[in-house]
Amino acid sequence: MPPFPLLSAALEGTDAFAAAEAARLVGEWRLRDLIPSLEHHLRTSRSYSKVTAMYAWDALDSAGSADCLAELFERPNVPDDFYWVGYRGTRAAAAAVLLRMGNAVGLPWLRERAELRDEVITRTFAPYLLRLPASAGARDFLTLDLLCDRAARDAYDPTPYSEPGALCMLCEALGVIDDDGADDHLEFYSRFHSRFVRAQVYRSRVLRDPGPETIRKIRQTTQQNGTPFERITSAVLSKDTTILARMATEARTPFDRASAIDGLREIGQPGSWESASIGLADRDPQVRQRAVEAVAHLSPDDSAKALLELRIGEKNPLVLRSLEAATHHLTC
Amino acid sequence: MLTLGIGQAIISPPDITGLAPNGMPRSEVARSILDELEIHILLLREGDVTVALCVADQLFIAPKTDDEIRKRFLRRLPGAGLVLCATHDHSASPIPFGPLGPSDPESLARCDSAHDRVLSGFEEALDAALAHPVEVEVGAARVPFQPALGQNRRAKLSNGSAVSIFSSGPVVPPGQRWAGSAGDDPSHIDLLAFRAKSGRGLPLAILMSYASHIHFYEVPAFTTEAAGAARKALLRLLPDTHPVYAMSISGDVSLRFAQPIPCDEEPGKTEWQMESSRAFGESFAAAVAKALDGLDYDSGVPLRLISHVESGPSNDEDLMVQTLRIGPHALCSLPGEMFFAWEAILRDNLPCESLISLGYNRSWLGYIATPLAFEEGSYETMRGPSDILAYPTPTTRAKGATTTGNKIMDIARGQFAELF
Repeated sequence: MPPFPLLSAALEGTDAFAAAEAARLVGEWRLRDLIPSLEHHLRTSRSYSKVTAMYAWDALDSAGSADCLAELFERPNVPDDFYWVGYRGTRAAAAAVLLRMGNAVGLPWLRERAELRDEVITRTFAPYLLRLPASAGARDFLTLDLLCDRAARDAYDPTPYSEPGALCMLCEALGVIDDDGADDHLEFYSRFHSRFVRAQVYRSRVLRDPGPETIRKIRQTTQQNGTPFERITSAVLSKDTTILARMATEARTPFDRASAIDGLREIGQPGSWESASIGLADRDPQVRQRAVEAVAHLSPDDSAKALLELRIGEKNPLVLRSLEAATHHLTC
Repeated sequence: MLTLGIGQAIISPPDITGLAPNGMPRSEVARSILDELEIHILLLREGDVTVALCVADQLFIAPKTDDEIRKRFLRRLPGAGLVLCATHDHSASPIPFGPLGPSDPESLARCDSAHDRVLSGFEEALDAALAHPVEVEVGAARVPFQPALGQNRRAKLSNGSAVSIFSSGPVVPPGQRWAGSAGDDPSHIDLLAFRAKSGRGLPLAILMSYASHIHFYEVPAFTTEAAGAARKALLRLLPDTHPVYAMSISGDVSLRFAQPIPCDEEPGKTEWQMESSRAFGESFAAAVAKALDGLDYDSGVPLRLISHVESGPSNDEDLMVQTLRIGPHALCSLPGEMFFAWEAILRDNLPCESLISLGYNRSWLGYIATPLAFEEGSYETMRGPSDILAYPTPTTRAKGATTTGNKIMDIARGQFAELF
């Protein structure tokens, strides 16, 4: 039997989401035994979600990964949805990860697409590209003006300036771009109707100015008028594990409970593993999954018993795959 | 006493030269008609009440089509009621795609001919439905369909936003993770069965409704997609039962079970579409056929139709909601394309024994998402009731669309209360 039977099966199977989740776990937990399965998935899968495997391979820093990604950049082996984003998104993922590795084979294409205002570049991959060193070359063309044209912003041009998913990525990019003009755009989007866009604005404000006054203002805003997701974001930014522990059980939606648990993981205080472990008993598998990964990350030794107990009774494959990754060190 | 007449006709475009089907962007003209498009009518009569249920293999029922069909219908059956909807077929309604572009007069003329064919097909089907009415009983069922072949097509990301997935898997941005589906999968087929009053045997006709888009990809052909495949599969199992396939409210659900397309060239892609449709049809038909065993039937009386029509926020955005009572059962005709989540709201505390929802009537208001879905985003949330003058900002557009959604629910539930 392979060392990670569930993750191997997911990477070799036909369920795109299972494979993407497995790939993510391989990358996050540095499961080098699964590098061959990861490569197999990248080369043979025709799902757009195999971009997750590209990110994982990048995290593993595996020899030969650049060659494979360069091939996928030229021939992504996914359906050409010429009117949508899957094909270009797969190429963009390969090009972006290659750029991080120091391989600029995709840079001309990234520039060309950016100049055409392709949202795959100016939104989906903009934050990642802007986080690369200046020497990578992406910052040369991903300027503030290109990302955020003021007239189009004020007119709410669909979709780059009015669709919440696109705006979440834009606001993330505004948090890392080296241009003080970003603050004005963040202020504009702090009033957007989507709580998820507003939450990203808070994160980006702290990225640009991590001082206590920034955090104080965010707390004040979210305590007065904030939705649960905004209050969770505020708690993460102010490192308030007490609020997050409460919301991990009291938040009404599974997504909010899972986000609170993610927040505990993000803050990274080992002692908060017990608060996160409450999610192991949640009725929703997404929450249980996040709890598994959070407690294993926060305190692998303290949480071992709880995780192994869960593994005995758990039936949901989403949770089981995370358990397989998170407990591998216990069964080595 | 309830009687049923059944009618059907072919409505494929007479000449597809220079045409492509509307619904998804195409990269070439249609190469063929893979299987004939159809229009189906179930004509119900009880006393002096007459109602026709009509479903057409079309993308939408355009207001001009609906107007003309109703005019012809009322000319022949004054005072009768008509419920008319489309299967939301993305490979049916033609648009010009010739080398001279959308203004090519010959292509436009062929589109007009195709439209005329729909109208004449309606009349032909109505002729058949009027010819041999049979006294019937009615049964209804909510059939579990597991695994659900229709799947929610919005993926949630960890930053809270949602991305539309038309094919296999989302492009998850680096630094984000997939955080589950943004909505439920449709796990039931709703059906109404009409059996001859003699009390034995299988139904003469079934009206079925499932909450999923029926297309797979931008096939370069005219075809009935998964709806036609389900009809054909049912006819193979039950040759004497007339199947009518309708689409429920399913703006955010697609058939992704067969994705991704395994190859990049034709004819492989078309073959994959046909095989995927066949697989769907067989699973669907098996579930429906099994549900017919032991179905309880009733008289199907009274028969009564309530219709609500008003002008929408802009031209060509009329709002139509209709509810038909057939004995203890309700059938509700709604605008396309409401999100599947509205179905649960509609079903809450039903005053009737069963409900079958039909989407895609004449009032195409675009996608009607739920309030949270507007905050999450995705392609569908950008194409709702969208008069830019009435709703100039995303905030007002989101509020406008959810106001419309709530209004539709209120109208429908008001009709339920009046009828039951």
